[in-house]
Amino acid sequence: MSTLTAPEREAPATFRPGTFRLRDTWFPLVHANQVGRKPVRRAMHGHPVVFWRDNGRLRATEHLPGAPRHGSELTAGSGEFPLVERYGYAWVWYGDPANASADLLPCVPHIPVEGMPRRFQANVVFDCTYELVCENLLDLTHADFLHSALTGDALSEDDEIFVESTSETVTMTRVAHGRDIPKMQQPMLKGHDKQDVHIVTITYLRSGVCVLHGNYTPGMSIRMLHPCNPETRSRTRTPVTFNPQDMPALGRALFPFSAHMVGRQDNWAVRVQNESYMRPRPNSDLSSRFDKAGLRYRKVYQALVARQQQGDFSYLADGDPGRDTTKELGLAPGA
Amino acid sequence: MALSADAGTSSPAGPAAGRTVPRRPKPDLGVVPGWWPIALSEEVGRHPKAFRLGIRDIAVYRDLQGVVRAVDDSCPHRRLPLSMGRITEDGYLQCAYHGWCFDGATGVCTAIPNLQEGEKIPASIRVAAFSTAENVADVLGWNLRTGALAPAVGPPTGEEPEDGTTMFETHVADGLVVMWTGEDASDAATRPRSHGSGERAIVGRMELRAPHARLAEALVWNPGAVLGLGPLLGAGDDLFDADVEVDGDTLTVRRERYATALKRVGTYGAVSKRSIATRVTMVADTGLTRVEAPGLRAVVGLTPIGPYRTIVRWRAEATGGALPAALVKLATVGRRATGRDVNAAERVADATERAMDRGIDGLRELRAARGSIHASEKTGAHR
Repeated sequence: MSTLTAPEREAPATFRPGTFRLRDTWFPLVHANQVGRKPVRRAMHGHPVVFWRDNGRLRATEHLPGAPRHGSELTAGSGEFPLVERYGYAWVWYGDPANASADLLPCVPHIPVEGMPRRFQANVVFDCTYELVCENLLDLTHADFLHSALTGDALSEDDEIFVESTSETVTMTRVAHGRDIPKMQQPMLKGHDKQDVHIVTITYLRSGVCVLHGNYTPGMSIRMLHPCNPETRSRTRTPVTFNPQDMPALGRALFPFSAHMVGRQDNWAVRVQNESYMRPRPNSDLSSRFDKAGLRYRKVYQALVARQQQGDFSYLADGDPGRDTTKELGLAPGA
Repeated sequence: MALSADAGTSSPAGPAAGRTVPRRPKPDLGVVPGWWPIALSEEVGRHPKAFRLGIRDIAVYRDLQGVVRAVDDSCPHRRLPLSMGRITEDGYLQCAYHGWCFDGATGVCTAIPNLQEGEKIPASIRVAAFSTAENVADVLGWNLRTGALAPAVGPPTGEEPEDGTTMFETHVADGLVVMWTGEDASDAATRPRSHGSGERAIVGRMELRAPHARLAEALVWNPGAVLGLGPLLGAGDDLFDADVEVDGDTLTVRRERYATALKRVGTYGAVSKRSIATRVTMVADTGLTRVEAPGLRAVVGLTPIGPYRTIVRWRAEATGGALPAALVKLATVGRRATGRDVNAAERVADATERAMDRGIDGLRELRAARGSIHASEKTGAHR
């Protein structure tokens, strides 16, 4: 069982998602273009955040406009959260406001800084804690099984998975050659029957933000910003942004509609998984070598939790969330 | 369904027989060790289904030979309930999330999709088959389950974990699926036996808001009223004190009751003098009960599913001919449709608290002596 024991040894004995709130990070809670004068209410780790526009200026407060203000420690008593607009989102700081710095926003090179138009946005709600959604995104074999019509099954000449991590991120890269073109892509690719696949997922552990790039040759290039905002221990909100490239205008227009199709399939699984992970269990999970990325996620997550439990909320030198990920995502020329 | 088809559970060995039994410890179900009823034979089909016992769900299905299998309803990989999965053509239970397969006889993991020798995945039909998204409904996430089996996955490649899911020993007796919850299945020598012929069987299932212990007492006290079988078991007043006998873990109560539970007028005696003698035999720990009367034989299973929830499953055979059987069946259907069955049973269970009866006393003493108290009744624990 040599192939199985290695990742097993790497994994923490127990994984208890939803039991710790990682602090000092930016959450892309809402698409900025979806906030008007009427307040929009969101939550991060159960804490309320109200978005509204004050004469055109976007604000994120703890209370509804006009309500009495006693701010919590998250706003240092001011009632107003540190807020940055980037990539079309209102990013809100969760943690000590004194540590809030725009340098700590993740780098998303494939989404314009001003964001995408509304038709490329979707709002997906999962009934589980955000760690399970992150793990689901880093998980490969469930896609072959659950979403095969859309993303294709695992039939290919070769299929390799690479996992890299820092103290703040986990990057999963999957490279496969000669895969059958899945049903949903076939109308766009007449005359081809095989394609090469290069998928990269970068997960930022503190915030659950996932940056994805799926490059299909021949075929499309799917660029996504997929937040996993922890609203409560049983709800994750994903205000997703798509930037599909290299596909016909119709396909590009229709692509964002896949969000709720795929989301629903995933939610079918994660919502029942959640209950089981919320309660301590004596038996730890079994894993195969395909769970490499998910197990690395658990390991880095546990390390980060352990550090924050000691009161250390700093970012280590290797974990700069703002680092340039252009090459990592396979976007650089020749990558 | 004929009982004879169910009786043999010492089945042909599963496809992965001979591999080591998983070392995974059994999960805590919150019930004392015993043969616990978990389903009626009719409730278990080819598709895995979740049945609750104590504080956990069990995935129960019939394998290709028709043998009832029960496994812990949580995939050991990523904890998705295995009852959301399906059976493959080679008889394995396949999880719906990542397609891990398990042998229902031993619980051993027999297949992991994509897992083959070496890193290369050859172009074979085997892998392509792993898809739950078969039609538009599935793509939209409705997950309608067809009767079709999942495609075959082939023999184990040898790279699966030695470990697997937890499998429970099951047995079918008198149309009730019972499951052994003790640690070692070899201790489970006294498995319940089938008694009836299965002819003219009347089957009932009620989910009650009553603790398991109260319902066990109610069954010893007045089974006719609990099951709504008064005309055949008697539901009225006792004629004399009950006769109680204890043999090991089993309690036997003989009594005679008036058939009808009509209220007496003033200080007059009972209007209807028809009385029925019954013998109730109960396994004190689990409440698995056999009720015998001149016109009826019944087996009753009580499944605790929470601190104040119990499922009653029963199967009765009218021995007096086709007409009484048909009448009882009709009455049972009527009571179920109107909800009177549940109301009446809950009322009897509530009344046991204040009842003065030698049968109840005997059961309480025996249960206290044996320590038949279920954690699932004491705490609000789940799963």
